[in-house]
Amino acid sequence: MAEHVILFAGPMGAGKTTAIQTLSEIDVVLTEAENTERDVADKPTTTVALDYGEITLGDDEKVRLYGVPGQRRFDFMWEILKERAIGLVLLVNNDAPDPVASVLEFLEEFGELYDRGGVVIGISRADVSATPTVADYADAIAVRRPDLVVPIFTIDARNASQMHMVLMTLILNIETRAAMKASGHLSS
Amino acid sequence: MSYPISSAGAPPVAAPATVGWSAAAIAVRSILQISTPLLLRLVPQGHEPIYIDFRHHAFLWPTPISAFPAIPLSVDVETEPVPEGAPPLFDPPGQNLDNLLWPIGLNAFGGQSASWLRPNDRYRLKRWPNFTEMNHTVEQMRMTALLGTVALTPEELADAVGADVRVARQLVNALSLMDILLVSNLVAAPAEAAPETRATLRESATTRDSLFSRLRKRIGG
Amino acid sequence: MSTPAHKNPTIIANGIATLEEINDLCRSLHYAALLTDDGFEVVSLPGTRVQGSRMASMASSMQALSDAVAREVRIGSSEYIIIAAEKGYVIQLRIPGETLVLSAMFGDSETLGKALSVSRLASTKMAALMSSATA
Repeated sequence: MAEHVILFAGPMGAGKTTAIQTLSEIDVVLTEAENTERDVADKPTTTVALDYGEITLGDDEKVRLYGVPGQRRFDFMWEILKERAIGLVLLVNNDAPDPVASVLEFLEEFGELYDRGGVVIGISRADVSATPTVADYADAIAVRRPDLVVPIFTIDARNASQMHMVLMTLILNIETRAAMKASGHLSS
Repeated sequence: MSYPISSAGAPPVAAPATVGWSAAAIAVRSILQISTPLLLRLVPQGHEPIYIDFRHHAFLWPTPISAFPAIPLSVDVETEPVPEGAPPLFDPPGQNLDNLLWPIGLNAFGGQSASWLRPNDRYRLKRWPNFTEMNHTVEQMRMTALLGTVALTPEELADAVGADVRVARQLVNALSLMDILLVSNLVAAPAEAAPETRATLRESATTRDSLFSRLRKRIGG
Repeated sequence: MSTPAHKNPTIIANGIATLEEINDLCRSLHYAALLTDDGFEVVSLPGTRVQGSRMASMASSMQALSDAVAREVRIGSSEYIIIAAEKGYVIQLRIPGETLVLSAMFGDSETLGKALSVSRLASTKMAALMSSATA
């Protein structure tokens, strides 16, 4: 069985569970618990282990979608699932207190996924808060990691067309980098 | 709603009407290169005016961008200086200017390279366009992904993905107009852009057996 | 908005009483804690060397995963989880009627049956204390 594991990470409330529900062809396996941090994210439940969804490409091939909890106290789940993943969809909500800092923090945490495969960033709730702009995120990333050119898109995690585009961009990036590495012209 | 161009300051400078979007693209490019704040009014024949406020990287146009006329008979171009401290031309935030520069860049210059681009220059992506807000093709995605990894001329880019060179030039024009390309200083082709490398990339891009192809077949797009 | 359990003095006091009873009944108890469903430690047995906050998060994940498995195979609600290792057991179960979980670690000198029995008694007692506190 060929499996391609894609990780969805990002701070609490960014839309990871929703994004996987939008993409998955099966009912998503959820591990939600009552959220006692309503001051951080005003939603009734939060993911405490993982979300799991999948897309079947053939008899022996699946794309597995794993969402990790956003809170740092669950970072052991990040470690467990990072190992198996080929790529990362990093989601952040634009109306959070400092979403650019969150993106930089998560890129640092999941940097090996970029080196090994690929990363795409999805900015949710850009309709609620027009700033920071996509260019702001790109500029901040460029300062910290000038070697990274990461696709950054504004998204609505409920929008199937947008989430399909995010996933396809991630896979395209992974394969493009792999082709460059195979030709011997990309060291990382 | 009225969209006044302020009568304060110098009178508007009207460029002669031209076929298509080329003059508009040149005007936008020129304004983006200078630090003097300017407003721009574009009027594609038969359409409502487009107002661009470069201070806020935004535009205002009642017509949905999905109805953008690719080949208008003419586009009137008017610029006007902005007095210091002048309020936004329209209620912020307006629409992101990138979403307008994308179709202008794609449709200006008739498949040739933009007039400000130099032959044999190589380009590499500085940042991705926000594709969720722009109509785009899979071919454009492939080319953009490649420019994110290696510096190429439009001709090398077309060769590397097996595309028509005009399509590659249109993409580079649009990305350049959006100011999201870096120009490489290399005189000779880097190893990454060598013909044999491009052949490897083209094979990868055109195979029907890639994960991307299988995924695309499954979820569309 | 009500006070979260891990900041509620009454729940904390009841929790301490419950954990101390387990400790009195089972000398092989190495660690015990009450945690919220979303991984915050309400109270843990004083003196333990286990990193409490991390264990609370891991226990929360385990509880949620076991609930998901039970749902998936349609065998009803998950009643308890047992991790049997070379040097002891971890037993975990919900406090009935509450969004709280009891997690306890016993040494290998304890029988599994007694460890489970004591844990279940404790969770029932904690539920009763919670119920009488809100009555």
